[in-house]
Amino acid sequence: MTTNDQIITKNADDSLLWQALKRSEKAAYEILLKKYYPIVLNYGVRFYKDKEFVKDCVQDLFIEIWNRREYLADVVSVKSYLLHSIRKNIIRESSRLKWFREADKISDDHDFDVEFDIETYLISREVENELLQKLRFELDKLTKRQREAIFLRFNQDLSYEEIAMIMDINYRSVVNLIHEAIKAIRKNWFAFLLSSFLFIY
Amino acid sequence: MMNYTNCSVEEFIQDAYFRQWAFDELSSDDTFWETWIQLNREKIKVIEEAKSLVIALKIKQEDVFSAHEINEGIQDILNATLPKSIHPSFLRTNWLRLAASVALIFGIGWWFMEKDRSNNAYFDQITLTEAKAIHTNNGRKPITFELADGSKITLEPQSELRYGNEFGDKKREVFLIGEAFFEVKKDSQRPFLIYTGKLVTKVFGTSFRIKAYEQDNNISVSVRTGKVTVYRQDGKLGNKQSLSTEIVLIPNQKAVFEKEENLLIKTLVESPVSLNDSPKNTILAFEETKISEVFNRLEGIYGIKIGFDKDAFSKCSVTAHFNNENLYQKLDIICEIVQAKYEVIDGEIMIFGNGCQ
Repeated sequence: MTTNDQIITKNADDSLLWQALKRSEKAAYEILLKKYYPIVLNYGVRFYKDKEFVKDCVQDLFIEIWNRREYLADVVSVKSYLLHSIRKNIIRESSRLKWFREADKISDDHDFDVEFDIETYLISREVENELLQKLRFELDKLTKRQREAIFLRFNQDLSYEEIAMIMDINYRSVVNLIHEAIKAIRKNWFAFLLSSFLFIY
Repeated sequence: MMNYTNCSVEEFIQDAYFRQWAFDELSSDDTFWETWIQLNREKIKVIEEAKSLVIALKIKQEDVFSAHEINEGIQDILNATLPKSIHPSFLRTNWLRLAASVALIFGIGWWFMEKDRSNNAYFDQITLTEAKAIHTNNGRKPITFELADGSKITLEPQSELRYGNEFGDKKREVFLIGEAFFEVKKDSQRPFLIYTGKLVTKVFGTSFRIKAYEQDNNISVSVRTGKVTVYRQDGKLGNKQSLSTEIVLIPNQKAVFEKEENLLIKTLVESPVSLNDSPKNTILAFEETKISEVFNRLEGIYGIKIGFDKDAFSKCSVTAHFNNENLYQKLDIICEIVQAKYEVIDGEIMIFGNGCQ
């Protein structure tokens, strides 16, 4: 597959930039900043809905990277390094806020807010409402962690290794999260779908 | 080209090339998949299932941040990482930022400076501190500078900011006369304290407003985002404040200090804003929804606690559609439905009523 090659060259570019950044080359920093700032921002806002708060956290992260550029470690993937860092920072900062706001409701669970886009697709193909409801119901049953893994795998096109690093879990757990999610949907919904939904080629 | 003949549904889903096809993202002259399906008719069920799953697992890409916000954010970071803190374009960006989420505003009339300083207890307090730096702006334009901790300050004309030798060691303390914009660098280890007369503001977050006009009867601190602590300062600088006089503010809360009565009260801002700006949250529809759930939603949106007697109201449900109503209008409607009243007490909302049958 050509995809693997693309990922490698993309990473090669990034790691060159990363090396240059460590040598205080501002131009390299600027390229990485422009490339990843929107991605990091849009990932961060899934955890905590206060946009200004997320912007502050992302800004702090990038400024910190520049200020500590000489001490930065080498990274395998700049993208997963950034996503991992912002995830950690936002969960830490927001749980601090949460703790403060609702002292009686501390929990380790963090939010991850995404919406599946299936409605747009099904509506455009005039699929019956009942089917739509059924599918929504199944998708809504996915756990936050399953959603996050799906988001990273299928929307950010990251590898299992990268997702494991970002979410601070092991490789096997990522595989399981995605596998379980797909299995649940296939089991509960797909039989129903096939009986009432025809594809047009 | 990979051999797909023995691929399972899951393997298809994981394949980037297959996903591109499922999303109609391949160029129109790439007919690989159409051809493949013709040649592998027995796999059509697998393909159908995989394709619909790829579509089902697609996540809505909302443009939470506008292109303008993103460019501004990038520019802010580039400015913040400049070798020197003062740069020609810096002031301009700072003013832009002012519109979005200005850290805070202090205002005490400029004529305050003209007063006989020796008669002013507040000024005595400042001069008692051994000043490490005094920034005075006697010009006509605001001046911007950076403190040792990375916080940025835009000092308005006829204003003055002082801080002591120990600034940045354990605490970050500044004294202000006049008006200034503060962009306080986040540092949970070292609180940032701003002294304005008898009121002290302790900063953790970055977005709030202080009105401290000398001619007003009160000083108010309104919080947009983040966390802010406000307390009265009795006696000389350095005296530890007693805990009971400390007020902690969260978003949408406001502290009002009545100068005459020497009273510090916690209340809510005039028009609480949704903690997240996405428009879908301004539309709220409840159909026979339990009142506890309704209040829960409102708490989530505004970050304000709503207290009520859970037993008395357990049988209450609400059917209502909200669009542009502010928090108080929403509460009016809900209270009308369940025959209750609400009051703002200590920065929280309390619901009073006999409940429903």
